[in-house]
Amino acid sequence: MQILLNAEHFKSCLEIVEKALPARSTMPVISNILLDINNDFLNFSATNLEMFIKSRMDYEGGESGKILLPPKIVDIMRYFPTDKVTLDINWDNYRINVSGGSANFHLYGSNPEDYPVTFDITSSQKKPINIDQKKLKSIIKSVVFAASNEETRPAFNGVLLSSHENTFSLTASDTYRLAIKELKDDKWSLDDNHSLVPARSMRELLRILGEHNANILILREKNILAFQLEGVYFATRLLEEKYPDVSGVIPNDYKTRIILGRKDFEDTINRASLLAEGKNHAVNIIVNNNQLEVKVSGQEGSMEEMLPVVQDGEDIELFANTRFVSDVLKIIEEQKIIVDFHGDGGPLIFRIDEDPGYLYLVLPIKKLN
Amino acid sequence: MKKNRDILLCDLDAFFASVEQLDNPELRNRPVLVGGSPEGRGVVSTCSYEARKYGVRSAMPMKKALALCPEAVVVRGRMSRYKEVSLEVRKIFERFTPDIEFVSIDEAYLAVNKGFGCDIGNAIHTAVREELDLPISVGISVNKLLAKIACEQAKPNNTGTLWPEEIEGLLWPLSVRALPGIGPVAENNLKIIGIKTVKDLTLYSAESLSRVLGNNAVTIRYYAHGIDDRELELEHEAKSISEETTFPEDIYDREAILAILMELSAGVGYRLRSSGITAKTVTLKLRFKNFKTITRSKTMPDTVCSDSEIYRSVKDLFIVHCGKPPWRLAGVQVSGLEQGSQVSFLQAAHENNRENQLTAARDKLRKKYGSEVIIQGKRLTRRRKKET
Repeated sequence: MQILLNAEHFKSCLEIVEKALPARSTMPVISNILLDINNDFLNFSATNLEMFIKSRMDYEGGESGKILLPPKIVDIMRYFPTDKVTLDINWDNYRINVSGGSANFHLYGSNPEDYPVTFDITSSQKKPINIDQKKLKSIIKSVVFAASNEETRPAFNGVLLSSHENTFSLTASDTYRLAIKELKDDKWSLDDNHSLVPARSMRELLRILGEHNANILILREKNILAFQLEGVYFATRLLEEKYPDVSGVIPNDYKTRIILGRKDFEDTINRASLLAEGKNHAVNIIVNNNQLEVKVSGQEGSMEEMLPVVQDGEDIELFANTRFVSDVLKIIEEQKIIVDFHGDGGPLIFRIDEDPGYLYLVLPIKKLN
Repeated sequence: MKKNRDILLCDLDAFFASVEQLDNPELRNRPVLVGGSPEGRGVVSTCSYEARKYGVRSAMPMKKALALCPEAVVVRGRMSRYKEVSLEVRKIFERFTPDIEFVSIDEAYLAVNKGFGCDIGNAIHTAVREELDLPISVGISVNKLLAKIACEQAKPNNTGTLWPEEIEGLLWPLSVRALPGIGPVAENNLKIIGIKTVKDLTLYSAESLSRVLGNNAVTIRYYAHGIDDRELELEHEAKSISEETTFPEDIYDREAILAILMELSAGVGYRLRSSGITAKTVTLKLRFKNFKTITRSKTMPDTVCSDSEIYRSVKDLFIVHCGKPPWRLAGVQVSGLEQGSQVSFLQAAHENNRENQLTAARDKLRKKYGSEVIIQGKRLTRRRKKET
């Protein structure tokens, strides 16, 4: 069976699903990309059993069949010489011929019989959420960076999606900091009111989501959460860990509030981080007399910088991780940022005036002497 | 070596013994031996100047030392106390210069501005004597070699100089043993070819000396002329903190080992807290009867600095990796060090405030009265067993 395809389009379909290929696996079948040809479409799928991505391209051949493509095919298409590519599949022995111009590859495909299918929940009867993908992208981006990458506390490898009355919220934390985004929107309700999505999956989803305005459907069925966009189906298994109640971590009233220019603060923190040392990247933050002072002193030298701020409440001094601070400053787009302090040993909370549903909390570094 | 600097070698005299005499006035002016017990494999680690008169030297078996000086008082070493005192001394050094090479717990090289060596040397000597009531000797010169020799000549409890212009008069008459790198064997071999003093060394070419001294000949000949270009090895930030102990006799009892590990954990924890550091990884070290040594580590999700957190990890490691008794040595090490402690809200929720208060109070006591002033009840089991 011969198929003539647009090489660029073919490559981008493969590159989308490639993100779900496992780095290594004890199950050989999933280290391949599934090609499922049915009437009007070529469907490409890959999974690492935690996440599953399917992409699709139009095809007018009218035939059908399934085959596992070796993952090398993605690289082959990256270096392909021509705009058109011919796939020649032998259904008896799963040999594939990939040719175009001077290039001619013979690949060994394999039998797709054992390929897992558990991620398909498109036939779910439940009502999906319908949302603009640009908006979804910015919501996820505003919290996912706070989730933990360490394996020691599995619940914190997830982003918690929860709905309560007409509030839908996303929570991510690594126990040192916490990002929460709340949306007052009743169309945001998933059937089950808690879904703990692996942050890894969320980060991959971010790469797939485009900046253009297009609708996306979110589905939930048992322990699978799926996102359906134009030409791409992205599904992830949910984490089964219980997410701790973090509401107690957020204090009610601030003792000090400052308002300052976000960009200036970001630049200052980035400069301070040049001398901040160790894994804590600690800098000294002092609020005093309508000024914010950022200071570092380390083995390589010291620096200090002053920024004018609008201050409400008492003076305060504490130490914090520059990374944690710059992480939030670089994703916020608003010009002004509000930072609340809660006394000695209390957290810093970053807020945005234009978005009361957002908060980012950072716990300080305790100096022991 | 930077030319515009004077180099000082500060050496606390009979340090461990001096600390014992400081803490126990009844030991003053008496021969004191610090070290292991005479019944076991104990050796003298330090002896007071009073004991040196009897021919007692460091590293001598305790049995032999007591035979030479039967009226000597034998004291078990209290390493954590010595470290505390050493830190106090260090603070005095740091008043005068940031450029310090700490050679050991009782010895350090200091680099100071040229021309200030004598003044600073005397000031350090006075400060240590007046503030800490400890004897210290200071050698002052322009390089490590001459400072070291000046210090040896000045001992005990004094300051001395050995400037380059004094080499002929002061260094050359000394025995070759005064130079680092010449031990009893080399001394003897040199004697055979007629070299006894440092001056004799200068009369021979490096080539002819190399037959006796091997590769060291060139360096030693430079030393004989008072030339030494070794730089000070300034301290880098510690990568780990550890304490270990070799037992006087092999231990068979698991509970006894755990009690020792608790003691070691407390020592490591105290040092962490007193320098404001926390650690992410805890390592257990065990040596068995046959000298086989293992180290096993555990990395925590959050950094730790409390005695109980360190001990808990060490104990977990011990339970899994203890192997077959008897054990010969046990050690506790922490690494993955971090200034300060990033607060986590899980930790904050679990944080046992009472334990924190207890640790803070205990640290204060230890700082004031030494590490033995307050101990965990579990450690008594070991003491009692030792006594019976």
